[in-house]
Amino acid sequence: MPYSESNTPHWAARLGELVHILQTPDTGPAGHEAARAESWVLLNSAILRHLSVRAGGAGLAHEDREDLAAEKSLDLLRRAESGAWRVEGRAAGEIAAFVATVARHGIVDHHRRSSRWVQPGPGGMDETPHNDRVLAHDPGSPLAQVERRDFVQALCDCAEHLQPRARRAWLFRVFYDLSSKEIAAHPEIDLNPAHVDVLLQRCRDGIRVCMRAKGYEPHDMPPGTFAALWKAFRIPQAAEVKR
Amino acid sequence: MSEFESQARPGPVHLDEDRCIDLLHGLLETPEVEAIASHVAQCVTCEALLRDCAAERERVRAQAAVRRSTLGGDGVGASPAPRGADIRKIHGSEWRVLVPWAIAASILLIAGRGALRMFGDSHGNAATARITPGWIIAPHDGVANRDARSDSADVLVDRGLAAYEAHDVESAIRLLSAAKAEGEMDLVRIVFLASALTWKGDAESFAIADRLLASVAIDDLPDPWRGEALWTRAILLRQQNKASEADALLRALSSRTDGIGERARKTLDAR
Repeated sequence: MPYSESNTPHWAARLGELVHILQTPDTGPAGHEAARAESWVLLNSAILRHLSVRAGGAGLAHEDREDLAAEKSLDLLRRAESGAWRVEGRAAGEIAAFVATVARHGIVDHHRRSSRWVQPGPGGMDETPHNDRVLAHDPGSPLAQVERRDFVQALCDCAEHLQPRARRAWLFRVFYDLSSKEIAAHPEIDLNPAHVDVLLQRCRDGIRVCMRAKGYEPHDMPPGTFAALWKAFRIPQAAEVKR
Repeated sequence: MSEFESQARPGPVHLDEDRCIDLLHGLLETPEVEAIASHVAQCVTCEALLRDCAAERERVRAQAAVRRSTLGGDGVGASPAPRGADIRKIHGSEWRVLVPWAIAASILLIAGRGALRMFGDSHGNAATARITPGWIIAPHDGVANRDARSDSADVLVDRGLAAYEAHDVESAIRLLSAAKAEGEMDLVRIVFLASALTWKGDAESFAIADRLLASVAIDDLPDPWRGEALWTRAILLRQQNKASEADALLRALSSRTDGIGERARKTLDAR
C-alpha cells in the first residue's frame, strides 16, 4: 500500500486503542504501564510535530516546544486515565484533530503565560508544512550520485562493525544531536553519561580509522546518509519490536 | 522511479508529519516502510523531516527513560513514561523561566503507577468535622539521577517523596524538611511536605503546613498541584475553625471535573 494513499494517521488510531486500554479496568498493571508509556511517546511526538510546524509554534525555542509538548501530553494522559477524555466512536482523524487543537492551545497558553502575545505567521495557525517546504530533490550528477552512494555504503559498513549499543549511541549523537545525558538515559542505551562519552569517542575513532582504510576522510555527511543508516540499522529493529 | 513515486499524481508524494510518526512508531506495513525508505534516500527534504521526527522521538524516549528493571523491556516501543529527576535533569537548562512547571509536574505526576490515584481513603482521622487528608501520588521507585551536577538536596527530595509514598509520614516530613530543592522543584517539595504535615495531624504540624502554603503562590501552580495545595489549604482552614472559608474553598474546588472536584463535592454533600 503506498503510504500517500492514506490520509488517516495510524498513530491517532493507535492512540485511540491505547486510551481504551488505559480506561479498561481489566487491564493488568503491566499492560497499563505499557499503554501509558506508548501513549506518552505518541502524544509527545505528535504534539511536538504540531508545535514545530503546524501550530504557529515554530517561533518558540526548541526547549519551550519540548516543555509544552510534555505538559500537554501529561495533561491528555491524565485525562485519558481519569476517563475525562473519551475516544469511543471517534475516528482517527478526529483524534488527530483533537491533539492538534491541544497543541494550538498550548501555544496560546504559553504566550499568555509569558505575557507576550505573538501573532501566528502569515499562513495562520493551521498552515501545513508542505505548502511552505521546498520540495527539493537532490538529483545530482550521475558521478556525484555514485560517489555519494559509495561513501554512504562505506559508512554503513564501518558502522556495522560497531557494537549495537555503541552504534545506537553514535547514531543518536551524530544524527539526532542528543546530548550525552539524553543518550545515557535512553532505554536502548542505559549507561551513565561519562560512559557514553567514552563510548562515543571510541565510535568516532573506530569510524575514522575504518573510513580512512576505505579511502575516505571525514567530512560532512552527504544527503542520503541518514536515510541509508536509518534503513540499515533502525528499520530492522523497529520490525523486530513490531513482531 | 520507486513504487512509492509511481502513483498517478503529477509528481512524487512526500512524507508528511503524520506518516512520519506512523513510520517511527512501527505502525506501517513493511512494503510501505520500504517505499518510504527508498524515497527518503532520494529526497533531502523528506530525509530531513524523518531525521527531525526520529530525533524528537528518541529524545522523548530518553526523557521517559527508567531503569529497565521497572518494566523489563528493552525495545523500541518499550520505553515507559518519564520518571522524576530523569526529566528534570535531562532538560539541561534546568528550570527554565517560561514553562518550568511542565517539567515539575512531569516529575511527580507521570512517575508513578496510576497517575490519578491521588488519594487513599483508609488513612487518617475520619472525624466528620474534618476533611480527610489524601496522599498525593509520588514516584513509586527510586529516581535515577543521571546528572553529574546532582547534589544531596536532590537525593533528599527523592527519598522524602519515597517515604511519602510509603505513607511514612515522619520520615517524609524529616527528609522533605531537610531538603532544599531549587526553583519550582522546591515548591513541589513544599506541597508534599504540607500534605505530609496534615497527615501527621497535630497542632504544630498544621501550623507549619499553614505557614508553608502561605509562602507559596498557590494560584500560580499548575494542576494538579494547585488543586492539591488548595485541598490541603481547606483542611487547614477547617482545623483553624474557619469553616466558612473552608467551605468556600471546597465549593470552588467542587466545580473541577477531576478527582479533587469529586472529593470536594463528596465532602460538601456529607456535611
